[in-house]
Amino acid sequence: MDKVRVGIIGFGRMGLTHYSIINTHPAVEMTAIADTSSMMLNMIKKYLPNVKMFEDYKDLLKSGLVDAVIICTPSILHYEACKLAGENGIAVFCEKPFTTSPEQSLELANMFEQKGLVNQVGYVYRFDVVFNKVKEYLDQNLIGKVSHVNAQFLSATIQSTKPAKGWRSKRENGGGATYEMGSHVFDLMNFFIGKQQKVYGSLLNQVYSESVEDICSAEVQYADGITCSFHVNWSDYTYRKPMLKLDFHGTKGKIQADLYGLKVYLRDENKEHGIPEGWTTTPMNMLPDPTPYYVRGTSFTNQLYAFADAVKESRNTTGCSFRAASETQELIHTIFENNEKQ
Amino acid sequence: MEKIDKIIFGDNQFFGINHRSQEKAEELLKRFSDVHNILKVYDDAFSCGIKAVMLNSNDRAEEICQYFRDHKEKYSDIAWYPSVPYPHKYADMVNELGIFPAINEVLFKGNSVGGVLGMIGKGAAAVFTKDAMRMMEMLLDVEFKIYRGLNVKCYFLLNPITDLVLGYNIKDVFEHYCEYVQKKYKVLPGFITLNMPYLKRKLEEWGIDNVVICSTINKAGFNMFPSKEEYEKAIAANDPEKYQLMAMSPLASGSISPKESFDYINSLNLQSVVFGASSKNHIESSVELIKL
Ligand SMILES: NC(=O)c1ccc[n+]([C@@H]2O[C@H](COP(=O)([O-])OP(=O)(O)OC[C@H]3O[C@@H](n4cnc5c(N)ncnc54)[C@H](O)[C@@H]3O)[C@@H](O)[C@H]2O)c1
Repeated sequence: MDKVRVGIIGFGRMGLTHYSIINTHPAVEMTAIADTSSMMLNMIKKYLPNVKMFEDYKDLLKSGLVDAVIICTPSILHYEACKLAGENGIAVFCEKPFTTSPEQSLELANMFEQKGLVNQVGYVYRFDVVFNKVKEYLDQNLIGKVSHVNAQFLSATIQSTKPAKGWRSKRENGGGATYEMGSHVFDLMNFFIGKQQKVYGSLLNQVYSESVEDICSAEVQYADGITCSFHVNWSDYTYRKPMLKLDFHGTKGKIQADLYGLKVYLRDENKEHGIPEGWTTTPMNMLPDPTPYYVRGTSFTNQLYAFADAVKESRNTTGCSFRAASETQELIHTIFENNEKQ
Repeated sequence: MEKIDKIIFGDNQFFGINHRSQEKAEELLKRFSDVHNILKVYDDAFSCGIKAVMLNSNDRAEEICQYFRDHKEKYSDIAWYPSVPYPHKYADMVNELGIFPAINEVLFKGNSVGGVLGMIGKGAAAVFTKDAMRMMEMLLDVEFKIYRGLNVKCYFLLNPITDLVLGYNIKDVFEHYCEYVQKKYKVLPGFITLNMPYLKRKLEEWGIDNVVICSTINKAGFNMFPSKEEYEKAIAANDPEKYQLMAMSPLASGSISPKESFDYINSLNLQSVVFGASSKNHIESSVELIKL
């Protein structure tokens, strides 16, 4: 494919950001935007004469104007938009969480694989420079056999009892700390280790919210006896900025990583990688992070460029596939069910 | 084009931004929660010969500006390089209300912009979507009000906005911003960006010049997109009569000494550098190292 014609469905906060990023990709041509709210479309249409505006995303998907779409509607609509895109042979980048049910996620993963269509979900931390270094170290077996992981995602997002607006106020629609934040750490574990095997226990709790949870914790088992304790809290007022922290405990050492950098502890020097015995700290800004265009961090760009490159070259994406995202979807729902049983 | 100051004193250190250490940032945030500690650092900077200040719009900017307005005689020779908008304010409001209600709130609640009061109400944003440029002018007026009465030399658009809008490849927005700032405020238009080579290329393509471009430039190549090499090429090829280039975060690398960091800055075809420091010693030694 010479040029990839791209459309955006859902032109809210994420849609606005994604347009800016993907429009800088040299092989991408933006051809269409769909949103049910006409206010934004009215404002920008004068300035984007080559982009066709749709109020109904179905018309966009049937227009023949796009090879690929970026879906950033409220999460409850992801399933039907992805499905219709697949039926029309269109490659899809879908925002996270993938859908709101494991069955729907699985159906879409099967469909896109069968049709050989590029598919990716917006689990953006897979493109974070620190977590990529962690992945590299784990794959190189730097800290030996991993037995336990502590995974935390903390923020001060929700600080009042004021009910959330719109789709964010209901868990069934993809609202709540588990979906909005937890899903990112669950996916990271999928990225590092693979699919979960068993959920031993989970707890959802509230601090301010009434209709969704503010805290989610879970004990989960992975292959090779690896266990993980997840803790997500979006009402933690001590964090000015969201903090995603991971601690890996291995036989030969430990890795502690967060969005600002990583610390490695080795029981013995590793000559091959030139890492000494004891603690070694690498701040985020010491890691090379080549990125073609910066908007809101480097990860969003590298994520969307990976998608566009995959479509252009007709190959699988290096990002989170529908398959991997459906495994995370399953974990989310097992966590919900497990909590309800208690 | 009017020449900008070679050395400009920045403000990141006051607001809990430290590229090297989160702990250090928290510590400074605590110290500078008292505005007197901020003002004292400014006096230190001025006593080291610095005559220019870059200030980001945030919830402290108003009280800082008020102090300098109240003591105008004492600081009459200081030039100001403010940057707008105040991103967190907008981000919070947009999260809470949605984009257009947030714009409505900024323009019409508590900010009585002359002549448009009659439009208060939910229809106002709808009216402005027909004229996005007029909406931009009004948002800028609200932001610039913080700096009224100060000797402003250049108004910068902050990088989250510059880079987001730049991605859309819309010439009108950049052209209109520059014209408005020059005509109405009689100051230089400026852009802060993390994608300097891309921005410069676009501005050239659009025939927009007489602009100040501020971007992260440091020896380690931190926050320079797409690459340090592209920056060096763009800087070497630049005509400073068209674009005055300003380096920010020259020390962001952390592992590289101030001497080596500023030697790198000095070796480039740059017109200005903005740096921040919180002790008089550090300010003094930095000023000595800068030779643009
Ligand atoms: N990856 C991340 O870090 C991240 C961050 C925030 C949000 N998200 C995800 O992105 C998605 C969108 O979130 P947002 O914050 O941009 O929400 P938003 O509410 O700002 O935007 C949603 C947009 O979709 C539009 N829309 C609603 N129904 C539609 C329909 N039927 N057809 C077309 N457009 C429709 C709305 O008008 C709105 O403009 C969600 O799935 C969310 O979970 C991901």
